[in-house]
Amino acid sequence: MNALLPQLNRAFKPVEEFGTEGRYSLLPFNFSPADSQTRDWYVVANLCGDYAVITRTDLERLVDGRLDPNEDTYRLLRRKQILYDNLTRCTPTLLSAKYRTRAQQLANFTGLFMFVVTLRCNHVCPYCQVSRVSEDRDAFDMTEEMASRAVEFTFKTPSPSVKIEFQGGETMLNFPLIQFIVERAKEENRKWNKNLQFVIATNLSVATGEILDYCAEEDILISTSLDGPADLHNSNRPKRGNNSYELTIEGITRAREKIGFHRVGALMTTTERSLGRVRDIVDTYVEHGFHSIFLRPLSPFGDAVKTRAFDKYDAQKWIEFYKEGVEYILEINRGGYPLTEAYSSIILTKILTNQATRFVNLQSPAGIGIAGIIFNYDGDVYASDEGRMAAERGDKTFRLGNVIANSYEEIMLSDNLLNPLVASLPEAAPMCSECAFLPYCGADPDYHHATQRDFLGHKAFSGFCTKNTEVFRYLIGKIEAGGEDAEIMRAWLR
Amino acid sequence: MLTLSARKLEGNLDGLGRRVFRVTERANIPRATRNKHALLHRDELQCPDGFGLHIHLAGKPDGPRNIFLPPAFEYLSDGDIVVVDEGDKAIRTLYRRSCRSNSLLVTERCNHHCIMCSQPPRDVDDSYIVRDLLEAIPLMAQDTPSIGITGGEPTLLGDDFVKLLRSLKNNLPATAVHVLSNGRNFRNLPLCHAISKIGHGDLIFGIPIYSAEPDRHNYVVQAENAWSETIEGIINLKRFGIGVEIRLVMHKDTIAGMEDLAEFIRRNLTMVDHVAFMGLERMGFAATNWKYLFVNPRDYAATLGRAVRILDHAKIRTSIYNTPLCMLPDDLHSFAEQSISDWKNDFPEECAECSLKPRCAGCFSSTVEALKGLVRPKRTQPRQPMRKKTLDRTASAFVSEQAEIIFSSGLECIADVACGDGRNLTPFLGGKPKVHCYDINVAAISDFKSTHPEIELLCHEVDLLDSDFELPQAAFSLVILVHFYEQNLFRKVIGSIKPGGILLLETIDSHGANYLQLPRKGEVQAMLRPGFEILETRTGDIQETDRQTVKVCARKALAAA
Amino acid sequence: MVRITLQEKLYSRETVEMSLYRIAGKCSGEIRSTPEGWEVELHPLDKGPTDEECAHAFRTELVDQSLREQIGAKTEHVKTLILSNAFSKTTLIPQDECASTPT
Repeated sequence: MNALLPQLNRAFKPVEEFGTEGRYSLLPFNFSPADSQTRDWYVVANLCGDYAVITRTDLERLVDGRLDPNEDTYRLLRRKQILYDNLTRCTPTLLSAKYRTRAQQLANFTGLFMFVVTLRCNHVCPYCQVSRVSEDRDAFDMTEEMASRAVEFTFKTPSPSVKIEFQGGETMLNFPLIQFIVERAKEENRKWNKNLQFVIATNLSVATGEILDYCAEEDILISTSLDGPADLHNSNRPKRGNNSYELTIEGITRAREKIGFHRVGALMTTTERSLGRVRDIVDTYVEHGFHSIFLRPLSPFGDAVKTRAFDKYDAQKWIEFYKEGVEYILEINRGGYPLTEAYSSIILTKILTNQATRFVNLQSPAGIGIAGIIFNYDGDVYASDEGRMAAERGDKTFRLGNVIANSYEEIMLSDNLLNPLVASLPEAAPMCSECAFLPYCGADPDYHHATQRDFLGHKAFSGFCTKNTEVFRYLIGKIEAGGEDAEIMRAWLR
Repeated sequence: MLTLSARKLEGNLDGLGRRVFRVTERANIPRATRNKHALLHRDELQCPDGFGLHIHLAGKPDGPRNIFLPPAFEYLSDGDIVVVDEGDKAIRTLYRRSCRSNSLLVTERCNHHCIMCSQPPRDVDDSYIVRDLLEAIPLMAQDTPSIGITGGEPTLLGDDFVKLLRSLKNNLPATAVHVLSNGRNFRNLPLCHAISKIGHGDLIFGIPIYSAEPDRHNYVVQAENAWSETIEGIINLKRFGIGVEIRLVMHKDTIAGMEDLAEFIRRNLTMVDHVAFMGLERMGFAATNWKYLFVNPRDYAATLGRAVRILDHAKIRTSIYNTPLCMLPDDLHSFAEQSISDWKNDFPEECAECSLKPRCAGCFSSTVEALKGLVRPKRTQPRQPMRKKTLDRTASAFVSEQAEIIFSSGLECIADVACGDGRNLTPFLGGKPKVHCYDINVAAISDFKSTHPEIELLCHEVDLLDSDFELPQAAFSLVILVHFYEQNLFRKVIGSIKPGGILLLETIDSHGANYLQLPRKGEVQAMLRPGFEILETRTGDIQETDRQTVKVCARKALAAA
Repeated sequence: MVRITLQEKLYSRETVEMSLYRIAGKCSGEIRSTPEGWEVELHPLDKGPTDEECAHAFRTELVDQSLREQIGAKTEHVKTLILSNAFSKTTLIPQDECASTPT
């Protein structure tokens, strides 16, 4: 020791006297390869999602009890609650507290209620299974009686927050019913005083000044589709006149003026045509002043149900799309333009925090019914939007009942809801229950039913699994690499 | 720093015993209340009857219940509360009405022995303190904004601690209470339950955690099992809905682990109400271990910034205490609080003209000496004019002279550090060198670009005093450093010059207190001696200081064969 | 097709079955109990990997699964404690000292 350096007064004991005994105990944890190609590095994670990345050798030594307390790896694994010792006896209590926090969102129950106010639409989008009807047919609108009963159903939820989302068809073609539902919901909410939010999903092509004024008054958010630059957007959304993109941009501009810049959001639908165009898509969003973009996964539903082989192949192509997109978005952030990638933001929130994300497509147990539910134009109730679209293809597996003919209990306790919930539970599933990424992942019975005719799905064949695993590995890699990119991503946390 | 207590005073305290009084300067308060009051005499010697005590700052009349205080106690005023002891002939000020946040020391006993403790523990029976305070609390002003409870370790008082809290709730229902504690005793549920039952509306416990590593925390507090028990205590407090603030004192043994600790808190203790990063006070054991513990705040500002942002991004309320603003980068200023109790708050004299002083925490009285040479007062006027007055600006006289000696066409890549508006570059542009500019504000050099479009200009907007700021090694054939000097920066400048390259240094002219920004006598020459040939040097010693102005033109030796 | 023999005392049936489950995307497999131990037959899927690749993938999974079994055994007790404590109204493992129930 350098005698010239100042020392602590001798009356105080040095740090070496406060070390651990040397023996340690394991805490429950899972491990998975950190990389799809090699098995040199593993992600180890406990049941609350605290993770560390370590070598294969260290993993074996960890389990064998051969880690040395003076190693950095020992300290890392102790800090991340993969092991504990005589100095950290509080750890099991900490884990209980965190696990309780993570599970809290379940107790809040259903928070998202989708109302399909009409099937009528003025576009003919190839991937859309539902809106095949022209502008003229009134038989495809939800009635006021159904809407009333659906609002009553909605407020039976214990959740302190309720989000009512209007879907279609083209929702604004039945604007009077939207107004009816908003009024009924506000009235009902006087009893409950919940945090009530409305969103209209619309292509904005028929958004009149009067409609937008109403949205401004009632604080309604607008969510529209913007798939990318004009050629891409128009080919995804054919319309008579082939001017869907122009109409969309014009609609966004008018909506922003009326209801406020940040109350207008855009979502893309990712199709085969989108893959390979991610930079153009991001540029479109930046060009139009958006500060959030959602690189949505490919949907396996579409004109044809995918076979197993296509499923995983598509997952690979989407992964490339996503990574290229995120790298480009980070570049844009480094250049000074704040732009959040919403999918990464959701996943990072699951990895780095114990907070709920209310993203119904990646919850465990599955978000069907118990996080989000949908009332169709004919009064039928479905466990998810995908479930109602499957019904339009003739598959009523996820139909839970009818809002007029059935009670709340009959609907929420129906077999069509409980069976997929139980069957798809990752904590009870082979591979999933042992996966390091379990705390970040979720169940998707719709997806596996569509691709494998099975609510759980065999994950070795699942594009859903491949895709999610790659995203987790990629994001963990970015956070571990640190630097400016990691800081930018941390700012995306919800 | 205020004197809060004194012993062996003169006066006549016969039969008093030990009593608590509220101080008043009004001789005619109702008779019925006079017994609880001590009348403060600044000069008036007449002693109306009925008062429990007479405190004299001038004059020494005869008679019982008189105590004579030295001028150090002139701060006493209406509403203050003192305890007076007949046996010791002692007085202690327990509470000051005018103080923003009074701190009540409740015991000196502690189960920790922190290496930087500003109030070293004493294992004595000081139960009289609680008795004094229970008498004093009902006398405190109803509009007291907040009260701090400190020690030692307050929870060692057991039931007495609960009694104190209950008394504060009952007597001062509108007063916020902040208790400093190591939190370990909150492992006991009965204690948490008892506190929760009091139903105090604004109660928060400030609990230190010094590291995410339990052994390092236990070493700092010099106690086994501390870390684990503290965390269990925090979890319990939060389950009962009681406020918790986590504190970290920044010194040599805690700074390296700050970011890991922030990450640990973010992940495991998200529910805490506040996190405070605290500058070191030079009292008690911190004074004993000062040379070992003290770190220049500017040296850890970068890691502090990262730690603060980890918590801030997670929406955990975070503050920086006891740290002068000039030692923090601008983006951390919003986290800095004026946290030092007024009676021990002080500023080095060079801070007098600083434009940030009204918002700055300043120093502890005990740390003024240590921080004196390190503060950087912010001039109220910008160093260079922000708006150019004419397009035609000329380099300084010294630079212009040296430019004639230096062979400027051989310059391919040059740098102006603290470039301002770039005027000192003008003599060197003949050979169209690549120019790198470094300054905290690059707006001023924007005109240079338009008047010299043919020059490739790269601007770097940086804080030159940031310890993380680096210049590229051996990169420039000429580096200009005019009107800005700091020793570490100068070292980096020297390193960035190519062998055979030129250094042009000109410090500011001296006036007023700015001499502190000048190099010490001989410092520059010593740093240049290995490796530089001095071509021209002019210095000017500043009277009565160890500083000098320096102008030097020097060439770096070519690499040894 | 490739055939691998494993010692029964080193690998439980579950471990072997889970390993086969994990590589089902590459090859199908069968397990038989014989006097020499577990006999595993691997059949690469059409247009899939070679026999070598299948055998390698299987062995890799086997080692990982074995490790998982060990971890499961060592942490079963503390896992039960953590989960039951997470959903109870009391606090602190192992027990609380007071009848009152915090939130």
